[in-house]
Amino acid sequence: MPSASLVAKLAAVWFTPAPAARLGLLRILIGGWAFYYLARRRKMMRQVAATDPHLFAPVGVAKVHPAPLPARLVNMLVHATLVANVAFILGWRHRVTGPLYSGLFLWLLSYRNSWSMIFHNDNVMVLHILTLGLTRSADAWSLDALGKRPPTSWQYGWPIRLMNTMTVLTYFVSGVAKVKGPLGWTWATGESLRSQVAVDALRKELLGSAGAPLAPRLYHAVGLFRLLAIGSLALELGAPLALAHRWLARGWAANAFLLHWGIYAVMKITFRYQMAGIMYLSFFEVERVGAWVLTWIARRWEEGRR
Amino acid sequence: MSSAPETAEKRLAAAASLAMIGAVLVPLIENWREKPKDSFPLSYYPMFSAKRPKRVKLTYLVGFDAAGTRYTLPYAYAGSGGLNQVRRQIVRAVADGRADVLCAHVAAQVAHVQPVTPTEVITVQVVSGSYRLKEFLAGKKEPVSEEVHATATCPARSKTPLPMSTLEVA
Repeated sequence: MPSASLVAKLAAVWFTPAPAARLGLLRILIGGWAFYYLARRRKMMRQVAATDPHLFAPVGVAKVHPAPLPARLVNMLVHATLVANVAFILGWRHRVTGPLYSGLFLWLLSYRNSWSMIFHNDNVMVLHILTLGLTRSADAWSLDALGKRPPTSWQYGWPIRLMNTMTVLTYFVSGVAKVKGPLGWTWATGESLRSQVAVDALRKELLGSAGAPLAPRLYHAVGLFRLLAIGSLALELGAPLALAHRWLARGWAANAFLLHWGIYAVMKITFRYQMAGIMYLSFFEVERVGAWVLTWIARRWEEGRR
Repeated sequence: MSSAPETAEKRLAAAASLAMIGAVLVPLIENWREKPKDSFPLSYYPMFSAKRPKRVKLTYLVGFDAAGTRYTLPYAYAGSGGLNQVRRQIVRAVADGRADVLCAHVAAQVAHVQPVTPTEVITVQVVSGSYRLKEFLAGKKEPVSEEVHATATCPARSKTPLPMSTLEVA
């Protein structure tokens, strides 16, 4: 059992106060991204829901119904999720709409991933939405909080710390899979990454999709792949260390962001949530940007009235 | 000093945090299982960890015009949901012995929306080909070997849109 003083120290770190505005802005920015993500995929979701039932392989919460749902019902749920998403962004009746939206979003993306392929780039977005939906993320920057200015509190700090912890842990889990996989630590030689790039280019070309133009050019650069593999492993296995200090965390987030753009350049694999930078916002004091935007709008408003 | 309600709220927050962190870490166990199983949104992130052979086999769609000229057909003729999802669905259709159904579906789709090819595609095939990665990336695009799973002739072109249910792998 951990000693009482260790628990107290951990609690002090975990419950470090944060401004309500930071959590509120994260709700708006991440909720806004999720809305954009889902709204653009309405047609695809409708088509996926009409796929051959033989191909349905439920994952996560979609396992509660072993057979696919009628396409019409899925379509309705997509629209219900979008409506709840708007309430979530606005912070309207968050105690009800927050859990409702995050639950619908979890189910919908689990269902979307239940057709023979799991899209790992969606995982952290769902975990972040769940955290924001189930915590007091609408105590600022919301309709619920109109006319209120809640003080900085531990209640707004721990959800952000949880989001950051889950973000770095997903990278750590991914790193463990590489060194525990069939290649073990030899994954760091870069050979596996190089083969992965080649297989990906082959798939894209044979399945009629635009391939990454850099893949054939870089394939013979064995040293470059070794460097990339070592860098990736360090970033993934060392991810939990980023939690030790906020500047370390921000440096790590910037490198993870660049890693995904590097993957895109070499393999044309799009990790949208990561590449947009939305995934790493919780590592930063986003309320400063929010305050700056408000000041700017107020100044423009004043200038317009003169 | 924290008040009693605050202490209770902190305990609840700590329990929820531990549960979420534990849930993210639990999939690590899959790395030690003989047959690991992935899930969503809690995953063990197996992508990029597989050992790739120098020669790989892939299943894909090809089309031919009246003169026998061969074209690669985009995966979207087989289904929706992105390249990797449809790729897996094509492999699964072949493994389940339903390549002919898939091929007929692709032929109907091609008849409905012709691919951007210099000449009209009249026949489609579902094939598996083996490729040497190094040679392929050096410009040798022909497969080392190829197996045809199914062949279908494109029906007469229909002007009416296909119903949604037939737009997917039948």
